[in-house]
Amino acid sequence: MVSQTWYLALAAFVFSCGLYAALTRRNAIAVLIGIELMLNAVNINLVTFWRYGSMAPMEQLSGQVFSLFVIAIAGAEAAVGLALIISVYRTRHTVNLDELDMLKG
Amino acid sequence: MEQVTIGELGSILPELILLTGGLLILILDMVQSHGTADSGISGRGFMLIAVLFLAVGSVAVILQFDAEQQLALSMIMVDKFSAFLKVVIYVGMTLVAIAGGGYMNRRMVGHGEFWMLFMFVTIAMSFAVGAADLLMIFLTIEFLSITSYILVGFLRTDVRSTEAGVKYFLYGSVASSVMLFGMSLLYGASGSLNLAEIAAAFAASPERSLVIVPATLMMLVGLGFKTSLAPFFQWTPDTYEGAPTPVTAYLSTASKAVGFAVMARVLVVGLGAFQASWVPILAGLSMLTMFAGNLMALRQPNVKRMLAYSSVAQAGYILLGLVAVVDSSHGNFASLTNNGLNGVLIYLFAYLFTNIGAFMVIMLVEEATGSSDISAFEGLSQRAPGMAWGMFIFLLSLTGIPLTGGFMGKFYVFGATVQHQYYTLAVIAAINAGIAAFYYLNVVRAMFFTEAEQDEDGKALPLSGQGFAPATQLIVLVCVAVTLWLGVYPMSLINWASDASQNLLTIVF
Repeated sequence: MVSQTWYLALAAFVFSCGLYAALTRRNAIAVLIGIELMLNAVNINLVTFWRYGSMAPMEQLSGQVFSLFVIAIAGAEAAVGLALIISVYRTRHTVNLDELDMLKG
Repeated sequence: MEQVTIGELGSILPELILLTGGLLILILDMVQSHGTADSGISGRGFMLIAVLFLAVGSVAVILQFDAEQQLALSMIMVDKFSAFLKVVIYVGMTLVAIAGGGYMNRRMVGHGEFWMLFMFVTIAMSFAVGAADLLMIFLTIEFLSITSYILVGFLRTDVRSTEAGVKYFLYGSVASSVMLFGMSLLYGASGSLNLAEIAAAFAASPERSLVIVPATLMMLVGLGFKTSLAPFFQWTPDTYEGAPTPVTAYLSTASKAVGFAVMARVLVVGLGAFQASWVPILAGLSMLTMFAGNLMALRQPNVKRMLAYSSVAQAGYILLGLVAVVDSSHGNFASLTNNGLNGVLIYLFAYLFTNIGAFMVIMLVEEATGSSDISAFEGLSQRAPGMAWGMFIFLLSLTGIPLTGGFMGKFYVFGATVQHQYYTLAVIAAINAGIAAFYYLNVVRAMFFTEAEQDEDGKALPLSGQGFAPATQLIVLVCVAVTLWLGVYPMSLINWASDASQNLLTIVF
C-alpha cells in the first residue's frame, strides 16, 4: 500500500507547479490552468487526509464532501474566469497580462 | 444525525428574503426578454425591487438581534457578532443600491442581471459573517468572490471595467486556492472542518500543532486578499479604479468587513489557543499594510485610485484592533470587556458610511466632468458647494479628526493598541495617520483653495448633469449625518459593538 506521505508529496508538488504557473505566466489562460492545478492539489490533500487521517472515523465524509464542493466551485470559477477573459479579448484583442495596462499608477 | 428543521429557517429569514428578491428579478427579467428590448421593466424598476427587498432584509436582521442559534449542522452561527456585521452589510448594500442605481442603469448592457447579482452578493456576505466551518467559509467566500468578479467586469464594453474584472479574478482565484490549501492542512491535522472542533482537537493532541503556522499563513493569504492587506493588495487600485463606482463602494466597505469578520472568527474560535503564533504575523502584516497604502497613496493623481490606496492603509489600522485582542505583556487574551475587537467593529461601522459617501461624491464628480482626477475637484466648493462640504467631512473622518465617526474608530483601535502595550505598533500607526493627512487634505485644498473653471462673466460653472440625481445626493447627506452623529454621540454604537465583540470572545475565556 502506498503511504500517505507520497500522496501528500504529490499534492504539494502539483500545488507548487500550479502556483509557479499562476505567478510567472503572462497569458491569462495559462494562469487559469495554474489555478486549476492548485485546486486539484487541494483535492488530493483532502481525500488523502480523509483516507489516512487517524483523528476522525472514516464514516465521517467531510474530506470527501469538501473535495466534491471544490470540484464544483472550480468549475464555476473557470466559467466566470473564461467569460471575463473573452470579454477582455473582445475589447483589447489580447489576453497577455503585460498588455493589460490601462489601469496603472 | 441532526436534522435541519423548518424552525431553523426563521434564523436565516434575512437571507431568504434576499433570495426571493434575487430570484424574482431573475424570473421577471427572463419573462420580459421575449418582448422587444424597450418594453417591460426598466433597470430602474429592477433597482426598486432590489432596494425594497434589501430594506425588508435589513428590518429582518434588526428583528433577530438577540437570536443565538447554530444552523445547518453548526456550520452557520447566528449570534450578536454576526448580527452586527449583517447590519453593516445590509445597510451598506442598501445605500449603494439607492445611490449608485442611476449610474449603473445608464451604463448597463442588460437590465436585471446586475440587480440579481447584487442581491446574491449580499446573501454571500450575510452567510460568510456567520460561517463557523471551514467548508462554509470556503463556500461563502467563493460565492462572494465569484459574484464580485462578474460585478467588477460587468460593463463588458468598457475597457477599464473588463480589465479590472480579469485582474480581480486572477489575483482572487490564486489567493483563494492558497487559502484552500491552508484549510486542507488544518483539516488533515485536526480531522474536522468545524472551527470549535478543530480547537478541541488541537487541545487534545498538541503535537499536531506544528501545522498551525503554515496553515494560518496560507489562510491569511485568502482573507488578506479580501481585506487588501499588504503583500496581497496589488489588485486594489486597479480594480477600484476600473470597476463601476457603486461596485467599488461596496468592495471597499462591506466586502472588507466580511474579510475581517471571517478572520476574527477563524483566529479566535478555531486557533484561539495559538495566539502566540498569529499575533506576530498580524502585527507584521498591519505595519506593512499601513506603510504600503499610505506611501503609494501620496503620489496618486486620481482621487478614486488614491482612495483605493487609502483603503489599503485603513485595513492596516483595522488589523491593529485584531492584534490588540491579545495583551502583549502576558501574551494571553486581554480582558473580555476591554480589547481591540470592539474597536474593529466600531471602525468598520464608521468606515462604511464615510467611504460609501466619499465614493458617491467621486461618482457625482465623475459623471459631471468625465474624470476622477484631482483636477476635476478643483474649485468644487464653488461649483457644487454641498458635495464639496460632504467630501470635506468624509476626508476629515478618514483622517481621523475628532467629532467624526472615523475618529472614534481610530481612537478605540489605537487606544487598545497602546493599552495592551504594542508601543512600536502604536507609534508606527501614529506616523502613518500623519502621512495620510497629507493626501486627504490635498483634495480639500483642491476643492476649497483653487479657482474653478469660469464662464465669460467670471462666475464659477456649476456642476450639473444626470449624475446629480437627488437619490445620490440624499445618500451623501445620510452618510454625512451618520458620520457626524457617530463622532458626536457614539455611546450607543460603542455599547452595541462591545456586546457583539464579547459575544465572539467568550469562547476563549
